Amino acid sequence: MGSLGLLLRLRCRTIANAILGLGGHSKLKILFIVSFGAGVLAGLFLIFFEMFSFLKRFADVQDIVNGYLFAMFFMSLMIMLVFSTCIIAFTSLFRSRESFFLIPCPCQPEDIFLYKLSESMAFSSWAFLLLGVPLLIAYGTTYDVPWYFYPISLLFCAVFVGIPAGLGGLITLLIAAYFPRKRKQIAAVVLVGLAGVAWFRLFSDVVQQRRLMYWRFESWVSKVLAKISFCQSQLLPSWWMSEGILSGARGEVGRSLFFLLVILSNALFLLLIAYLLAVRKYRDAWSLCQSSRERKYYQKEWIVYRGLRRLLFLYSRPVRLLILKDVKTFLRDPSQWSQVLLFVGLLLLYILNLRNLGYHLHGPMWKSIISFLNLSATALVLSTFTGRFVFPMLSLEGRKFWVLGLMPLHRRSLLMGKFFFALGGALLISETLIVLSDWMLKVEMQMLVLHVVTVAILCLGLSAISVGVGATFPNLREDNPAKIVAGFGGTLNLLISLTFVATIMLLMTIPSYLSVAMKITSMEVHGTWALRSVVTAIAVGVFACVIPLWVGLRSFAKLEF
Amino acid sequence: MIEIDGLTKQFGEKVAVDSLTLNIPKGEFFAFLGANGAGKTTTIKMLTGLLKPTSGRAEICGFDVVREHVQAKSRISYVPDQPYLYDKLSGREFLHFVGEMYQMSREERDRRIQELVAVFELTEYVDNLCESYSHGMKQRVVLSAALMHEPEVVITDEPLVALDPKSARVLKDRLKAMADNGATVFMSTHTLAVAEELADRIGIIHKGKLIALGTFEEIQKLSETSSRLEDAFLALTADEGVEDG
Repeated sequence: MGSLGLLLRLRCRTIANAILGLGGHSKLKILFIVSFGAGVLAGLFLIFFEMFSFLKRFADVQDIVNGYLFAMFFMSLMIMLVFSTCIIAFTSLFRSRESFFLIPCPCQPEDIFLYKLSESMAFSSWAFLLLGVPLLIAYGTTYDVPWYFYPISLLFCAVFVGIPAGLGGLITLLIAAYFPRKRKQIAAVVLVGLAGVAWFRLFSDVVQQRRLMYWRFESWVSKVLAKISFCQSQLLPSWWMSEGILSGARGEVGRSLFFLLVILSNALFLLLIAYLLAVRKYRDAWSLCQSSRERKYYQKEWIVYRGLRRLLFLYSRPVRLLILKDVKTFLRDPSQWSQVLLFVGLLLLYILNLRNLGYHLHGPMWKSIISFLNLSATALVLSTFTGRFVFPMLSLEGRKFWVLGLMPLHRRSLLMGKFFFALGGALLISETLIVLSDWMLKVEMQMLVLHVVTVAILCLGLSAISVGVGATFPNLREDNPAKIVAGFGGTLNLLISLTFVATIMLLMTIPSYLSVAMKITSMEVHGTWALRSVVTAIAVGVFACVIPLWVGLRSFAKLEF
Repeated sequence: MIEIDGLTKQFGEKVAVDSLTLNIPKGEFFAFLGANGAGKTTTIKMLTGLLKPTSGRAEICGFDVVREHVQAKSRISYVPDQPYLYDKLSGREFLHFVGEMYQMSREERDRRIQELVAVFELTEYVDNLCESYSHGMKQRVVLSAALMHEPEVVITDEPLVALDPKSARVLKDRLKAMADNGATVFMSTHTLAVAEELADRIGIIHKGKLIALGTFEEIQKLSETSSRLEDAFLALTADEGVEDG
């Protein structure tokens, strides 16, 4: 591992230079990003704090529920971490320009593997810390834990990420070494499939019947816990994590350290296997990945795109061409569509299992709450889609911008092409999800229409915000979408999108709430309030659509490249 | 110094390099010519360990590029056509990194960086971050990095792209001087005038096969032309149109 130290020192140096370089940026920009980050952490802390304070009221079951909660939380994060490590590691290990530079250098390929894997691990783990830290602080504050709970918990987090990193590295290397031709597609399908199976089990009757447990807590809680009781399997690293942290909180230092060492040894074991496989296979896999056959796309897929071309007959020819180009680019990059597939797939599986959970048999109030929660989840998936994929679209044109810039069309058409592409994709995904969810829950037609309108407003606004902010703050020098999204423009886009989602959801809660209230109380006096809130939501949606697009068009018209 | 024996690389059905056999001795300046998609870059990628040959073998200074790749790579320098630098490192930091990768001591690195900075006129911006460099500036830093450890074999792929006339002259002189001092230079290029001016021997690859090998005069004789290398090259590769890629 002679060169690994050198490579890691190199990375530290580049990070240090990047931090030093922040001095040259606008103070306002830095202040904004820091305040936003602190705001998100504080917000998450408050949510978790409220949750733990609520649970604390149920003294008999709080320990059991907290155990389930932690185990489930860490299991979900572990699955997400494995998935994101695979996606990042594929590009980083086999496609990045840095790997092209390092492979001809006189260092062992397995050192390059470990170096790039640690980089992928760092990139994929920041969200883990973002969610984990406020959760643990909120738990510590609520339950008055000993002081060493905090450093121990941090150690647990640091060690735990080694397990998904080792697994992700192994999966990536195995697929690249043995299925180099379709590596991205296979990785995407396998991971989405695994995540789907895991999620499906959450709702399967088998689990429900085998592990059903009852206690004095309300029956619906016990049923929910029974369904997720598989997360209590003692073979799962997420359970070791949960047990270790909770033992630390109870002052059982020996038991806590035991689990810490279990996690550490397993993480090291997985990383060791990945390393040994890299010794034998990384160079071969790298070479195989560069030797893929050339694929002829046009003749094979033209029928699909011809259909799409006809479907887009309402748009002008240039806009239609631009939308088709973006659709092709998106569909031919599995690292892009697989992420959408994961989010949408999980939500779809959950929705398809709503009747297994018996939610459609509940009363109007519960149905309203569940359908509203589904709407919120869809809105969040939608904002992830627009933030992660739509916002960086203009920036990703990067050095190719001159191709578009020289075309005989207005820049307005370029931007509108992106907007309509985003809007089409967003509407297709979210309206399908929400209609299916309401159908599974057997909600009334009136409520279904309300949800469809809400989703349409969200799609319009979120697409326009992402395209508009993307055109106002483009980063034409960067070709990694993750880095574009993590910049100032991406952060601003996220903030505006979340504010917009919260505003619309708040406004649209009023008619849902009143509709249920009318049923329960037999009152008919709230109709005008419902109408007012819907009209206000539409007005906010139009505003959120027009203003960002207008600002984006103006900035884009002035852009020199 | 470079021994290639029956080197073949297939991408599916397509044979990119077909049974290439070639010996380039110590101190030779070798120019490797070919149209786009002829197999030049694939050959270079196999020599530098970026691609694994489908069959055949290649040795650099007696070390097999597949089995003893670290030893082979520690003796070569590779200058790709698209320079890669770490945006958040300064030029000097990048040169130190490369020197350390080749096990050079701190004193050696300092001395060598000073020399190269002077030769390639990097003084003004060597301590700026690489992200601020123009393409030509990046290329000069990459060339300096390639010469840091005074390699026994220099492999370059279109090294003159984006260099201003003065830097191009400096580079050509430097490479020629290295060959005169015993290093082997393997240069792939489209700039036939440079090959004609500098190369001891020229190899022409066409559709993966080495179709001509020899000095400029021998190539002229083979192509039955008597003027410039451009005419000889066009005559030898004239059977079909030029491919892309």
